[in-house]
Amino acid sequence: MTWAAFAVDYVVRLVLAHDRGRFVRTHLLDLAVVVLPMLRPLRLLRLVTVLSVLNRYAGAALRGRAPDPPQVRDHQRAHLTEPGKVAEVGRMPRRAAGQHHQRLAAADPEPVVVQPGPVVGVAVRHAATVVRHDAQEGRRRGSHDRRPTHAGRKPGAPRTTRSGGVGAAGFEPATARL
Amino acid sequence: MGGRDPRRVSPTRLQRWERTAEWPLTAASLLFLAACAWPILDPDLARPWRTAFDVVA
Repeated sequence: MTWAAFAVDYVVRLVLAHDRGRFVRTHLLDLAVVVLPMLRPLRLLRLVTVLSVLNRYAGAALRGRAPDPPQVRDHQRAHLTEPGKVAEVGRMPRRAAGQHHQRLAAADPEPVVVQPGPVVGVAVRHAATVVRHDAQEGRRRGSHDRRPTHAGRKPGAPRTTRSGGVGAAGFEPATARL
Repeated sequence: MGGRDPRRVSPTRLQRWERTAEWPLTAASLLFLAACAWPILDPDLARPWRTAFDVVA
């Protein structure tokens, strides 16, 4: 089945080539991979290109840089709050954007030690937001929880409903004790 | 590609085909890798599965 795919590819390329004799001579390996069964594993060479692409992206992400045009991307990230600037830098030629970024980095009082890639950055920011949100929510919920008990509590009455307290005397439903 | 003879290959059609076929062929090679490796990694594979993987590869 995969053999058929590679065979079809080879035949189509052969048909599309102008000088077929030359195509066969310059693509001997392709022919061998299709014709000789023992060379079938050479089909995996196609995966090498994919691996190199993945490698480039993974390496860039691990080094904490954006993959291809790093200057422009970093710069845009630095100026996310200023849309005009982003557009301006996007129109700059690459070298100009890079120089601009270097100037920016030189002017930056805080050295940026780790600059996570876009995905990691978003994830970290999101996590931070969630944590902050939870903290606020907890604080708010805590105050909400306290207020009704304060208001409902008679002056001098016990705050908790332990056994033998107000709850155990049957004035409150069982769930209130939880 | 030095441009000595521009008629050597038809750049548009051949290159368009190569670009179109790139990802399907990559998928095919992945499929090939799986079909080759599975019977080796799992020697107790049932006969029909073995044949199926042979057909795929």
